Parts: sequence; structure tokens; C-alpha cells
Amino acid sequence: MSDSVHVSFERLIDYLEGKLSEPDRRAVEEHLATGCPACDAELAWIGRLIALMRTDELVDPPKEVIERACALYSKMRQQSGASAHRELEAVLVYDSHSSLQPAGVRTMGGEVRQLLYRAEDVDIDLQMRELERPGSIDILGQVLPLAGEAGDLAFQSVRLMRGDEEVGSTFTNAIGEFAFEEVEEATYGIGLRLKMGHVNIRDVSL
Amino acid sequence: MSSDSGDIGHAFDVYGGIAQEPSSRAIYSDVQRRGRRQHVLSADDELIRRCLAGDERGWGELVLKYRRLIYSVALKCGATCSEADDIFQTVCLVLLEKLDTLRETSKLGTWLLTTASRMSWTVVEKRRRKENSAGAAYEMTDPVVSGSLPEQELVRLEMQNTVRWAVEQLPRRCRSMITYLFYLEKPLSYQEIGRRLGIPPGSVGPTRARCLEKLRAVLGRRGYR
Repeated sequence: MSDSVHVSFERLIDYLEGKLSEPDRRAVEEHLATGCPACDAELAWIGRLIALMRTDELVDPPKEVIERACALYSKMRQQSGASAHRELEAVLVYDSHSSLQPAGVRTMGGEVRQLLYRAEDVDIDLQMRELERPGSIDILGQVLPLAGEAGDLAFQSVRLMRGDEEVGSTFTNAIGEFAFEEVEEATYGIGLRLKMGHVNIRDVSL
Repeated sequence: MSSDSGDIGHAFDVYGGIAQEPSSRAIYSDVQRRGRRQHVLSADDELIRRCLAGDERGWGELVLKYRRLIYSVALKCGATCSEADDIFQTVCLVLLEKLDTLRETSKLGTWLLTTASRMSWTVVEKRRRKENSAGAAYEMTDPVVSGSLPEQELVRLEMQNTVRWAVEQLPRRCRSMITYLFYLEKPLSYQEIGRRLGIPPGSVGPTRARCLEKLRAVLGRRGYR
């Protein structure tokens, strides 16, 4: 093999894969030994590519998980189209620290405060749990429909605001639950982007 | 490493030709068919632009392109399959929410990696704290007990995802050829590849080279050289 003739792409792959006969392998090596920059670069590229493929351990999510993610787009568009101009203020209907326990409300331990807000057809249940670390609290919430299915309340955006600043964001899970963990004690607002509109809970003091 | 199913595009093929499917499934299938016809690796900024313009297929392409990366990062961080399902869903939601405010869309893969990685650590740490306080054995030998995946590992994962996505844009024969040779734990012999693809074993070498050339062209069009 002449120094001036480059090694073909196919032959370089065969060389890397150990598929060349001994004379052919030597010929390729002699050419590479000349320091041919084109063949060096080609060899390096093929080597990197093959190594990436051979060590690939990427895993596909289950098909239903992918489908659900694909469906998010239309769901969110429908939601934003329907609710873009509706701002709803949630009203506090129950506070375990200042009310007698109404019938049906679960009894909480002393370190848990429960707040119940209502906005049109949904209730938002908030539980504040004091943590061992002083000044730190978990906020566990659930959006509950007053009637009907909770399906529309799944995977909805929830934001934790301190003044005008967003200090946390999350999404409701399949049954409308959400959580902000290890939150510093302060006064917050919580904004939920639901199908019915943007629901704002103002001045939640922790 | 791929399973022995033999075809890297198998996950998509199961949807080929299904009519009257729910919207997401139809998009999933359609995106894949279009991708194969065009043999083009859409740039992320173009996909994001399409999403913002109301093109649902653009979103489907984004989800498909990064599905393995997001899911695999969650698993590598120690998430269970069920946790990885939720993390995948949440990362997609965050992406959808932030589409119109994303800067440097050329670094979307890196952004998704970081987001998925942070989210996964939070989920895994939370579960482990609970397990620990409940007295369950804490697996100190687990390499992913805390911290984050090494930078080098993240870069490698992102590159592998890009290559896998590019392979999926190739014609079926090339996809199969590349899978048989490079993605199976035990690569098939030229004899077996020839039998499966209906070509003489002597043609496997030249076909393999042409397929890798095509792969290089797809990657090169998007700056991956």
C-alpha cells in the first residue's frame, strides 16, 4: 500500500474489528505509521463511534410511559386554552390551628397543621409538617374534586411563591397530590394551573 | 446494551400501521415514519420552534429523541422502574412548561440530563432516608448512594443517545445491520447477518461500511463529527 493512498473506510473498520488478514493488517499499519492525518482522524472517529455503540446501556421507557408523555402536549394546550384568562382566588375554609375539627376531617398529630382551601369545584388540602430541623417544614398538598373524577387534576403545575419570586415548582401526581419538602418557615403563595383556571392561594403562613 | 430482539427500531415498529389509535400513539407512530422517510436528525431548536407553533408532532419527536436519556439517567441514579416512570413524566412536563423560556436550545440534551439527574437524586435520597429511618439496610456498597453521576458519564450518555437517535433515522436494513454488529451483547456472525438480511455473507462488510457512512452523514448534518 502506498503512503499516498488513503485506507478505505471499509478497510479501517475491518482493521478495528480485527477482520483483516495478516498482510492486509500490516499494510494498514504501515500506512498509519506514516502519520497520515486523514486516516488517523477517520480511524479515531470510527473507533469512538463503535465504542459508544458497544458500551450503550440506554434503556427505553415502557411504551405506555412514552405515550403518556406524548399526550402531555395536547393536554396542556387544551388546558391553557380553556383557562388562560381565568384567575381564581382560593378561599380558606378550614384551619386546624384555629377551628374545631369538623366532621370527616382526619385528626392530625400536634406537629401537623391542616388547611383546606376551596376554589369553585375543587378543594386544595394542605398539610404542613414540622421537621426535626428547626424552621423547616414539608408542605403536602392534594387537589380534590368536589364532585366527579380526579383525572383532570393529575400532572398539573404547582408553584410555590415567596412574594413575586418562584421558589419552587412541582406537578400533581396521578391522584392530585403534590409536595414541597424542607421549606423554610415564611409566608408563601401557592399557584396551581388547573384546567378550570389558575388557582391562587395567598398568604399561607408557615 | 440492546436486548436480543435484534432491531433497534423495534420499540417503534410495534406501532407501525396501527389505525384508529389514541392521539399520542398515532403521533408516536407518525413521528417515527416521517423521521425514517426524511432521514434527517431534527435540530432541537427547530423541534422547539415547532412545538411553540402548535405542532404536536414536534413534541412527539422531542419526547422520542430524549426518552432513553431521561429514563436511563433516572435508573443510573438508583431510581426504581416505577420511580423512573414518574421522573420521566415529570421531566417531560417541566420541559413542556419551560419550552418558551429555554435559552441555548442547542444544549437541550445537557439541560435534560441535569434536570433528570437532580430530580432522580431527590427521589432516591428521599426513599433512602425513609428506608434508613425505618431500619432497613442501607446499601453502602451502592455506587450511587449520594452525589451525582460523573461529568464524563453524563457526556457519554448524551452522545450515546444522539447516536441511537441517528441510527433510528437510517433505513431499516442499516438499522438492523448496525444493531446486529454493535448493539447486541454478542454480535451476530456475518453468516447469520447475511441470512437475516437476505444478502450474501461476503456483502456484509461493504454494506456495514455504507451504513456507517450513512450514520456519519446523519450525525454530521447536526454537527456531530
